[in-house]
Amino acid sequence: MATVTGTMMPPPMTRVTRMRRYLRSKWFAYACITPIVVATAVLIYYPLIVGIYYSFTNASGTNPNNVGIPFLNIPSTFKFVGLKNFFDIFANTDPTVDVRLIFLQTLEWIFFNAVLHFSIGLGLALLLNRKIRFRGVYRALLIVPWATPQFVAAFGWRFLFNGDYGFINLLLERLHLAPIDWTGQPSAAMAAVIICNVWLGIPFMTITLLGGLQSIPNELYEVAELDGANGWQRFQNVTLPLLRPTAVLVTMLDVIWTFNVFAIIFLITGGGPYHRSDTFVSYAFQVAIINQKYGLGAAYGVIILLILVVFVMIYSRLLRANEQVY
Amino acid sequence: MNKRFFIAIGALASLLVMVLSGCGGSGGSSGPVTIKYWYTEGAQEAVVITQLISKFEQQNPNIKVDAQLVDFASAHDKFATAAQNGTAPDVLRADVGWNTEFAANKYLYDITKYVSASDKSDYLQAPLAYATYQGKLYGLPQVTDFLVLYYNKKVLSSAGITAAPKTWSDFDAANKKLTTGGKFGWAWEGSSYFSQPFIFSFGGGLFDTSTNPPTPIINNAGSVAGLNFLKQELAYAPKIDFQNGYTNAVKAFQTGQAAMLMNGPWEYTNILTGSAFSDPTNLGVAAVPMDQATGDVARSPAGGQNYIMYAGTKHPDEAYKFMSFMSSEASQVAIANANKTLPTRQSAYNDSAMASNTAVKSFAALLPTQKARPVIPQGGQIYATVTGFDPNLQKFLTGQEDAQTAANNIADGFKKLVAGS
Amino acid sequence: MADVRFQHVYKRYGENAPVITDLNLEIEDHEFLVLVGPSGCGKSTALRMIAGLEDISEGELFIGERIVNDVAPKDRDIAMVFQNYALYPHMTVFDNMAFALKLRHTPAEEVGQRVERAAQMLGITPYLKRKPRELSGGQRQRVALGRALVRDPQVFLLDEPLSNLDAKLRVQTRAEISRLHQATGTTFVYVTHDQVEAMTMGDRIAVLNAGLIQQLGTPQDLYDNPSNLFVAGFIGSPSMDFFEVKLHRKGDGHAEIIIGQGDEQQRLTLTGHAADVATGQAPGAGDTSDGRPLIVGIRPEDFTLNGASGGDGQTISGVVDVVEHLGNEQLVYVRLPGAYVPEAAETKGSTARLGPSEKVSPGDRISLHVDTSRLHFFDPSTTKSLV
Ligand SMILES: Nc1ncnc2c1ncn2[C@@H]1O[C@H](COP(=O)(O)OP(=O)(O)O)[C@@H](O)[C@H]1O
Ligand SMILES: [Mg+2]
Repeated sequence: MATVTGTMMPPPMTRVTRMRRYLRSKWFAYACITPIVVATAVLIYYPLIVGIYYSFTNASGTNPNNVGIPFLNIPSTFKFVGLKNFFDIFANTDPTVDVRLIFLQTLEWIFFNAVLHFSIGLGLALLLNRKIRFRGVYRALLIVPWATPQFVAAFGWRFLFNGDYGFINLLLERLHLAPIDWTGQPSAAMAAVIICNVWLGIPFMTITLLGGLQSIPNELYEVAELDGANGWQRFQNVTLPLLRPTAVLVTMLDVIWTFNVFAIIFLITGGGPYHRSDTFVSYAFQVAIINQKYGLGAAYGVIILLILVVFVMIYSRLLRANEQVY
Repeated sequence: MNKRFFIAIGALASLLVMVLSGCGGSGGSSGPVTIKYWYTEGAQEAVVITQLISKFEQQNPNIKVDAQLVDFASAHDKFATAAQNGTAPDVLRADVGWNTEFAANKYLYDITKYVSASDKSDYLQAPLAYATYQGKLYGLPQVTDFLVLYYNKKVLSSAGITAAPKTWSDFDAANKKLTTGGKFGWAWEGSSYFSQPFIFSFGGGLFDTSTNPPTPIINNAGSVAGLNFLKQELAYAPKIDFQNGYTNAVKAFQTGQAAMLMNGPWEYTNILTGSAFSDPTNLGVAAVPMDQATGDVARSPAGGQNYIMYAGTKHPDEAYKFMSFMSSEASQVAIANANKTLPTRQSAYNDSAMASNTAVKSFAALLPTQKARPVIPQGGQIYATVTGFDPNLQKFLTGQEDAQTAANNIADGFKKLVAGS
Repeated sequence: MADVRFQHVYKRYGENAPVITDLNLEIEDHEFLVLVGPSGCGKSTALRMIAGLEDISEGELFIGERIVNDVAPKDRDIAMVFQNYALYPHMTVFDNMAFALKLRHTPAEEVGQRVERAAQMLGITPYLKRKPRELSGGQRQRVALGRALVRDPQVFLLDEPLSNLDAKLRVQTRAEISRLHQATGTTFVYVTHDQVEAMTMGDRIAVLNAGLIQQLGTPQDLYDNPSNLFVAGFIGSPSMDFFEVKLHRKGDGHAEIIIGQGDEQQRLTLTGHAADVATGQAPGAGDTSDGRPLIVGIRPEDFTLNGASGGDGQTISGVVDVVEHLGNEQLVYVRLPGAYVPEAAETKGSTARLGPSEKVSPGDRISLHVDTSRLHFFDPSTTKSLV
């Protein structure tokens, strides 16, 4: 019996000694990373856990957390309400907003942004990948939207979309066309915010796809040409398949990024008219920040978090799959 | 999981917990007492404030004022956070909309005992209402504002209109005459706040605050009549851009494209920079028109700023001394003359130093039309989109809903707002 | 099957000096022609002009009887193998090889047969279902060859196809490509910077330098009769040893060369063919007057170790620098007077190729017997061979 145990596991002392030796050799490394681990935990997990906790309460601007002022002896007045916030969202009980519409608009927002980012980005990348004159200038110009902070871009476009004094409507008027009611017409409002976000997102897409295009060895095009492939066939058989890993990843990143945007929507249309250009994130921002419904806002935040977790899982899956492509 | 995952979570987490975090520190108390004060005026307006503070410090050598300029847009959240942390300033200049909310949250010091009866009666009614919560005083009014009818004298008289419209039917008649050849009778800002003169003047309102919880009355007959009249008159205004309506309306009036505008005293100086008012006497100021049947009721939503005191202050006496100095007749006159804002004391309007301030004088006559907005803890959020006020108004104005339906929907949103969940 | 002909072909990039200058070259049908030259001399450019991947700035290029200057690559019926294989990474080996045929709408059955046959020839049948990343370098190279082979082209172009392989694999694949050439009988144009590859594989070799053809001929021809200093130095490993010398016409009609100056001076009396050249008896020898400066080339194998020292006019002596034993022979680097080092030379100083049993060590002073009938003469100013 004793022999069996002895052969199956090393005597405890040995393991402790090994552990001790391991720690002695590695303690400095652990000491170095400890502050980062602690900071990460505090900065990321603490707010996250508090946020999740709030999502189960009715905390709001008029019902706040007063635990921080013990010297005033004011008790916190918000209550634990269980899943009520989530129930309210999924049961669509809020008379002022149709959550189903917000959900559909979120899909619409992601879909159009992703498709337009990708197709315009690919088109520009293909153009810039050729030896055209002033290529450097175009590339430099392309950085402009990228270097523009989101809110600056949003304000700029808001000027352009101004119904009475905006450049776009003035131009339409000049061309004797009907002006567009950018903030009063639901589809026009959605178009307006999408246009701004597309404008902002094109450089990232273009530069990344351009990088992807440039990493395709020129010999492959030459060999395909010798094999008898015409331009379109080369695009189909060389460009697209070799760009695919880049394209998939960048689109996934774009979807995550687009999903998270709220400043553009908030500043250009305010989500209006009547929430018809709102997405989950921009609406949650209004609930939580503007209307100070912290509990409900946190519940939206948790739902958004879960959606993002799914996105990120897909993304990491793709990332891993891509490593094995070639 | 990878780094991106953490970044995503981090971004979300910051959305989730807007209440935590914040900064500030409190002053000690040795020798002379230091009062911490956050003021929210713009840089230009703040000049007179700092002058007054030095004057106060000269008069009271035992009290130092540590004055800090805080951006108006972030002051609300900053104070709320600091109040919970115990690091809030002793005195804050707060929007009237925040006063009740902070009082209800017990962030504010009850100053009832400090304010004399004569003082109380000197303050204008609407501004003082904002400082009062459950019968107690939680602030001293600093400045007030309300909406008036601005009009382009030249344009009106050349259309044969000799006096500013007194009633909505005058207004309608004027609009019909003025709207020709690409010009408009008036311009409207296109948001919930600016629909209030219409709602109020036809006998409507937002809440009946005599009940508990307050009852929405945005869908009563008067409110609906006001909304319908508003929509009818929009035929004589430029098409509304819901997001840029405010600046567009002011611009249309400034350039002479529209002949009338409902706006506040805060735009007075800016309007005069417009091309239509190179001669300042061309700008007329009149009361918001009334509905003949309803009569001359208070109908112009009042706004303004109050001085409030943090409940956690260690020096309430000194803090109050500072507040009352800042809101004294002399200080109010100084601020009004420097910034063309409206004082909140009757005596300030009668002060001899105010005689030459024509702008303030012309507004003073219209003060009786001022109506306090609902004085409820949720007052700050009434006009946020999430109550459904603006969204449903937009649905109504774009023909998606009739006035009654829109008003009922807003009422539902209001009910939810005051129910507090 | 076809021949390829360059006629006064120039290639310029922008305003710069031409990369290819007046190229005249006829590559015969069924021939294995090697284009060899140092890196950057324009070999790939020339090859890519045949493929149609580079425009021709001036002159004409024929494939068969057809001028192909303006013919699209796919219509030239040529196949090319690239240095880094250029396999489609997302396609299986089979699809890589079948791609060209599929584009041509070849019936699936025939595609299968042709790929199968090519795969068998190259021994890559087991890998047909794999992706390129699942193959070794040598296997990838064979797939690249197979892809060209399947096409059954008129001309096979290969641009340094072996340079990414290790030494052993390179030797193997070299033989394999030669076999392939014999099996198909197609015209092969093979570009390399490695003269060993050129010598072992080419029916004929064209030596290119700075965009100019230096010499065209069979490997033996190039080795025995290099037409200038460049070719002499480039072909052969270790490369030819060169000396700056003066020609001395003796009164008795014999000629000798004087190597080195002053105390170091050594003399070699010329014999055989070399003597004929130096005395002007061989045709086209040019100026052979007394005292004329010359550059003399001696192949390392034309030295033998001489026990007796000097006096016979066939011996020079120097101090041994380094000795490399190769088993079947040894390479001895010797410091000899008057040694001249042309740019293209692989080694510095003079090399002698001696039998494996000779006892030589660094620092020794040795006497080397020179086969004075096999000397090569070059004009120092034109670098051209005297013959
Ligand atoms: N696209 C180009 N533009 C300008 N110069 C080029 C270009 N391609 C090649 N060259 C030049 O042409 C010369 C010959 O190149 P190449 O034919 O590739 O040489 P190699 O003999 O090594 O294959 C080199 O000097 C190279 O710098
Ligand atoms: Mg090359």
